[in-house]
Amino acid sequence: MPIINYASKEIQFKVVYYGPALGGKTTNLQYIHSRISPSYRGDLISLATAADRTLFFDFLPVNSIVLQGFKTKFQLYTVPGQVIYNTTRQLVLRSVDGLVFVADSQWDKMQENVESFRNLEENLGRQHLKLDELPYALQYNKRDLGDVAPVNYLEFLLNNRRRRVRSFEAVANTGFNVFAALDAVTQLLLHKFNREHPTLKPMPAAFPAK
Amino acid sequence: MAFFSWFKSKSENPGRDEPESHPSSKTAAEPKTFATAGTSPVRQGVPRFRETVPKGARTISGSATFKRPVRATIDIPLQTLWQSLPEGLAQDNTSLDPKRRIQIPRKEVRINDIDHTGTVSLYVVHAVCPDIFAAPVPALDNRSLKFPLPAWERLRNIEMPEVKAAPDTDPESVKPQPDPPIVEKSDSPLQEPKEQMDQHQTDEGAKPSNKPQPPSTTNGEIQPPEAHPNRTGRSRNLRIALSPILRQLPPELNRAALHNVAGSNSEIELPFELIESQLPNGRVTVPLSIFLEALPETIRNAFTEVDQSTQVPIPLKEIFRHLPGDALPLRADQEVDEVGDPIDTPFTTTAREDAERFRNAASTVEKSDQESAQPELSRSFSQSENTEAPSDTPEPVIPAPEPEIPTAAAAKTEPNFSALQTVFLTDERLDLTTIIDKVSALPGLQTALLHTADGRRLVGAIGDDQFERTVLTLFPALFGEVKTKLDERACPGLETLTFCWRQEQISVFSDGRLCLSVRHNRRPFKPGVREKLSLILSRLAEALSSSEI
Repeated sequence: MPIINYASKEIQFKVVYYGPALGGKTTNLQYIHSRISPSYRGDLISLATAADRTLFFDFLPVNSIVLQGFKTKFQLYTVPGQVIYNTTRQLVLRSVDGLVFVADSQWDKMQENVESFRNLEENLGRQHLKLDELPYALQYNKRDLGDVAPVNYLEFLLNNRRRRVRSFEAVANTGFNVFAALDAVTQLLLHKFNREHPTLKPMPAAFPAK
Repeated sequence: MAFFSWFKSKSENPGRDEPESHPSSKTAAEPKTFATAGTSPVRQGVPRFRETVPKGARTISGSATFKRPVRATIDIPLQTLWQSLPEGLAQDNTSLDPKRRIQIPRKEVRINDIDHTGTVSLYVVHAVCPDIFAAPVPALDNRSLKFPLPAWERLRNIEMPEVKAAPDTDPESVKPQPDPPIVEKSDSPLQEPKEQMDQHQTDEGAKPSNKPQPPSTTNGEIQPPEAHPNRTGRSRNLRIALSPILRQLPPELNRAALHNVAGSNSEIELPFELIESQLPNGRVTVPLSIFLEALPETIRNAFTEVDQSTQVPIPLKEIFRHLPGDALPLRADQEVDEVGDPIDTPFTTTAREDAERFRNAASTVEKSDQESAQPELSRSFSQSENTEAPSDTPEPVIPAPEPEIPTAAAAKTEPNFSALQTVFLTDERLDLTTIIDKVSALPGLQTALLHTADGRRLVGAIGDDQFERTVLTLFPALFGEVKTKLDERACPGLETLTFCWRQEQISVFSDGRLCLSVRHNRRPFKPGVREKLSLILSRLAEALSSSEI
């Protein structure tokens, strides 16, 4: 549920990057941070361990151009992928508007992908949210590596639901399809917002890249 | 009242009677199901079922018979039970999770080992899972429900070398039985003729009927394997190369005697159903007993002292080499997520720019490859082109390994270190000196030195002349020698070597011609630092690849 602040004329959307540990969620945000002009984004806040593993979350605020009197803000978060940080993931998922599930394409990460996806469903369920009602996209990351599973298996594992969502082969550290996945989710959530708030249409315009 | 005594003890001591060797117990993702005691009506006179094999079943003889441990409960996917409910009894509740597993007490299930089905009273099903019922089932309801047994149960009596009728079986009363569930030892393709499949559908009790099916699904969950359209119920085998399995054996199973076999072309046959049922979990294991049965006699004895409940992981990559094309079915009732009219979001322009950039980079790579007559374009994306990419994915774009390919002239004069900005989380313009300064500042490190494999110092310092000379002259050669020997022994991918003295530790990383040596702060690497250094060196090597270093 986006936050609409009528006083400050702002609409805030929260997009969370979810997925198994070391799958590339933080790298996604780092790339997005590096490509957006500083005048349209805040600092990338990373609460990480000394080993650069996400401890709490990464946060990147992105502002858009004011249209129809309302400023549209996107707050991009990542969750810590490690199994032990489930409480943190639940906290980060609160009031989520859209999701990008970052799956690791390597063969030996398939089980972690499935477990993380199920964990996502469980954590959404605790907030009385259903994955099928949320805008989300799948990003099959690390496609540049040699030992990756074919896309049809990833689709079988993660996209074999009643609702088939958009999926993207990606290489987060080069930026391949990072923005495409984010754009897809953003479109979905803006459409959903327009359906739910027909009188209040946020139409954020694109800002120039860095 | 066997059921209620079980139910009570289950409620008081959950998990007490769980078998220790349940294959799926190691997959934490499997949802747990608990019966809701409060919703179970009091029942008088629950019919008891015999636990014995029904008349006409066959007994197994022979020393090679594999018996799995008997579990106190039988796990059935909720969807299977739901779809088998009589008309009008199924709850039309879309919030139910079809992959949820319902635990039915084994003693309440009448098991038919011939057609691999179980029969249980509707009342018992209602007691353990009332939420799939639209109406309560009275205690005197004599109706029962038949369901296909899960793979675990079907494979309990696998590998029967000899099958003969039980001595107490009345031959007159034995009805003609379908083929016993013996693993088909043949090299035949995994697809079965249609007649056999049809025959099996009748065997499994999935008779064509006019009974309307309960709502096929539900909240769009991933279909459990029981819903596989090609399931035939017959045990089929999948041939898998042995060496990849042996290479990935867990430490407790690794045997020196297997090292010779690991390099051979031996193949083993494993039950396809066992593998197929685990594919949705992203990990496939087989019980050691089944693995041993499949192994050649010569190496089977290497595992005599191993815990028989051990699970042997089967590499997915190897399975996929032999998997039939229809083994990964997508749901037939899928609805593609329609976006509607495209909206220009704040990220649309950047997404288009990126796509264009990667397309250009790919075409540049293509051209240069054509010029140099190299056969391969991209090692990573050739595979994905052959796969069934979803129709709604964006136009396939072959990415280049780097987002920006600098021209050769520009690269010689000014290497582009922008890829390292994301590593160091900075917008600062980077050069070699600042990069090495940042490397030295990583946790647990004192100094860093970037040098070439032929002993030329590029930037940075170790901080001790004696050590630095050693690092420059000896370490790259040692690294190269160790790497070569490891590669020869099928242990590729050496990233770093660490040399330890009483007070000092120096690690060397190598990526082609470029080496990075770091001096520790008297401690081993802190978590993640080694991986970060490896990444930094690889980015540096890419950035300097066109430079004359």
